[in-house]
Amino acid sequence: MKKILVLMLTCVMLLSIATFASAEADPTSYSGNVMMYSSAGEDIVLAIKAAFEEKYPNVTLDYYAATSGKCVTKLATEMQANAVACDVFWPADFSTTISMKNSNQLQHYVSKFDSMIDPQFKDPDGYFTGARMLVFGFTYSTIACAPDEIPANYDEVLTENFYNQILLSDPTGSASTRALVYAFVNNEKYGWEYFEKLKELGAELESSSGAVNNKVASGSYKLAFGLDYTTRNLIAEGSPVDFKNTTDMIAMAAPICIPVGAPNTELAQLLYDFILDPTGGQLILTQFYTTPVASGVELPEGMLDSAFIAENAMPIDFVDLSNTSTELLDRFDAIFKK
Amino acid sequence: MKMMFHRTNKDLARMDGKKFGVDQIMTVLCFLIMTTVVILPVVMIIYNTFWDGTKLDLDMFARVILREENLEALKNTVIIAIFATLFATIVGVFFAWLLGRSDIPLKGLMRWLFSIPFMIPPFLAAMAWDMMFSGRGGYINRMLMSIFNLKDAPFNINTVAGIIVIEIVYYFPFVYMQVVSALERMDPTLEESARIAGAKQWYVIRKITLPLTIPAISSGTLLVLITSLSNYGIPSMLGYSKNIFTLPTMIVERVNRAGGDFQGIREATALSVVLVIVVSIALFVQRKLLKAGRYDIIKGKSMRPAMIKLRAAKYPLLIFSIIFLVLVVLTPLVIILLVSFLRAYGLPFAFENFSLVNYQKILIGNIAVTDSIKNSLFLGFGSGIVCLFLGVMLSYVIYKVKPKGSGALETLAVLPYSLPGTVMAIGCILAWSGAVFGITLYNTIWIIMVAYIARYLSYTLKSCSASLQQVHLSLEEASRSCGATHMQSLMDITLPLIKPAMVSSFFLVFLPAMRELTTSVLLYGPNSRTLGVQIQQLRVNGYMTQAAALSVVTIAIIMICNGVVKAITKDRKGV
Repeated sequence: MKKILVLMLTCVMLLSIATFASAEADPTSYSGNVMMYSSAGEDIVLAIKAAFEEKYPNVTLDYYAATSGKCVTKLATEMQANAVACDVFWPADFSTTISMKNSNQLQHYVSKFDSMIDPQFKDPDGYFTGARMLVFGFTYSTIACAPDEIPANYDEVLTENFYNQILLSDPTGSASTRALVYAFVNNEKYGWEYFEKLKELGAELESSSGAVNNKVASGSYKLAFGLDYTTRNLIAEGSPVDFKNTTDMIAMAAPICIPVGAPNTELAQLLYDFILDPTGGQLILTQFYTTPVASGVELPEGMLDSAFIAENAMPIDFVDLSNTSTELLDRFDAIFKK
Repeated sequence: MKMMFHRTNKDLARMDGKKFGVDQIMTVLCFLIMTTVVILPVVMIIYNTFWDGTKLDLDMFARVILREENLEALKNTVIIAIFATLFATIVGVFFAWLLGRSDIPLKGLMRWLFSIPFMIPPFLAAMAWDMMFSGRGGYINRMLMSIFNLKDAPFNINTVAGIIVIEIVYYFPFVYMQVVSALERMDPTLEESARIAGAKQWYVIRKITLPLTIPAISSGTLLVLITSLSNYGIPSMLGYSKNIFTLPTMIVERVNRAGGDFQGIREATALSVVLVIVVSIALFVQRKLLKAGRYDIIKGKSMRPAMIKLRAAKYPLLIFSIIFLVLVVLTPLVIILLVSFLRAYGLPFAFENFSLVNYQKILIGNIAVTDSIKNSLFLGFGSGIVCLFLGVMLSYVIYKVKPKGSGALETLAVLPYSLPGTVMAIGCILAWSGAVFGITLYNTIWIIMVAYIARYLSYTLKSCSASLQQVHLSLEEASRSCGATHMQSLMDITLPLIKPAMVSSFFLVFLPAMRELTTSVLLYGPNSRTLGVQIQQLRVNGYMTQAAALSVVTIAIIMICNGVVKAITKDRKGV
């Protein structure tokens, strides 16, 4: 009996070693090119590229970095032409990947780091998973207003003090703002009335979050509904802007996925895992003021934890958003673009 | 084929003892190249607009066109294009006459200033204007409000009128470059005869000079018209916050709204078809107008028109021109330069906020920037040279050989420019991802080259054809009667006569190609990033000051290249 037990234990140990060895295959055994389309800032992409190529010296990470809209258009056209060049796709919000999943355009893949990600920030069926957090708050001009002028919450900006002074990116071009609009209109406290009041207050739209930040930085507007990482990048540069988290938190995860037809699935999975690795891509994000999605990442001081965000952020049903996106934008345009 | 050449000069080929002469070879080449470079992507766009994957779908087209916001965008597009074209033509012709035919001083300086608008990326120029005249605290507005104690900003550039003004400023050099070349090559005897017959200066200009430069004016006007119709950067930068949409900005809006759904992208291509129709109408009208007269004004006599003495008007006109050029050309450039030296965007223009850190970041060890410079130089020179030779060949075939279908050839050459860059890029991806003979150019630098050639061919065609129409056939015939072959006549007589236009047309392609954005942003691959894309990437990522620094570097590169090419060609009329 003792011998059988020893034999079984030995087998288990050998099996574990073999499994470990296969999971952690020699990094030099991977070779080739892998292409990523990403809406994350180019700084982030370049840092991930450098770290990934250092870990896998025979693999080259090529990338296409542009706005989420450009990345989506490029990939959609490639799919139409049956010439997909993208291995890993990293747009800005879930509604894009949900619509691709519904059109059978995504490969199923569950990363070995999947368990470190809150269910709110990944697809339950394993077609995509969040890879970085986008957190909304107030981006404000330190030239045009004092920090104590900035309210704690979205409903408190509806005052005369901010008449003609509020800017937000157009939800048509900005997927993250689209999610913000969805969160508000599906919340009893805000609803569509909130946007009607914003319009009455003279709030204006800009084409992208970059344009929004620039206008606030130049002092043309006091305040914008801005994203944390883009604003913090500007602050680090020395621009006269600051960022304030709001009581009602709007946050979402930017997902990664592997499109059907990706030329190099094996390397795509390798990169996918690397981006979700708490000691790899997720840690790199923190250097660029971007909140990681995976738990277990050492965070710099002041950065919100994804678990805290998951607990406190206003709920957003991305499946419903994906299905009702056109109606949502039509109604928003009817308020803001007439 | 026999029918196709029924109007060609068969005698010329026979004189060379050939049944299939140079003219015919050029004609066949033109049709082949146009099919490859232009027809394929445009057909892919039209095919995808009207074919939903399973059946013909005309309903979508009608639905999209008749949507209220699209009609409003169409109205804005037409209003902006008409006024921008009208005033850009007036300003361009005025300066062309002033520099080409008058004795105004400082012509070299002014010629150089005219080239600058071409070098500045439109979104940066628009941004610079926005910073000066924005109704929301532009620098100059604030200054005027403070000096004159005004309650409201005196100017607001974020209006349809504001967009028109910036387009005039940005596009009048198109007309200037076309017309100045024609004026300098004009046969002076016509004007001299009028003057000898007692005509006054203004009468000569009105009745002789202007009518004879109609091909050049109409070419420039058409370029302005189609550029304005398809421009994205200026209306997007100035009109977005005030809900002023034009067709190109609405097309991009539709593409964004599609969120990756190709059926949504089809709606955008449907709007592009409207632009194609509008440009086709403009081309048709231009051809009808030009058919009414003869413009071959370069004949085998004196080629140096006399300079008109401005006398008392000389210095007032000089002061006016310098103020105008400094205001519209140099001021935005200075703003971009100042922003490029700012430590961070949004800081005031004060000495303590200036540093070289942005230049350091983009120029030292930045592989993305060095790659984009190399790629843009390759694409700028490559597409410039190819478009130049294609433009000369096309204009010769269209206006001298005149085969059947020459009108179609011209329309084909101009159509891609009327398409917004985004849509042209979609057409190129669809055409060159293996759909045709399995050829895949996608994600290589060659697909960008093909797209640039298609997009900018209209520049060289318009420029060269305007010049070629002024060359009288008698010059070539004289050469042939002296025993020269057709090819020798072309090389020794015709081409040297249109050389200034050729050099100008090279720069008409090279300058915008060096900082092109909207097409390349969808076509670039891992090794084919361009300067325009890199500038945009910096801007989108929030590094506005570095974007401005890279723009300044781009402008410097263009100026150096301009100087080098001018030195090589020894032709001061380059730009």
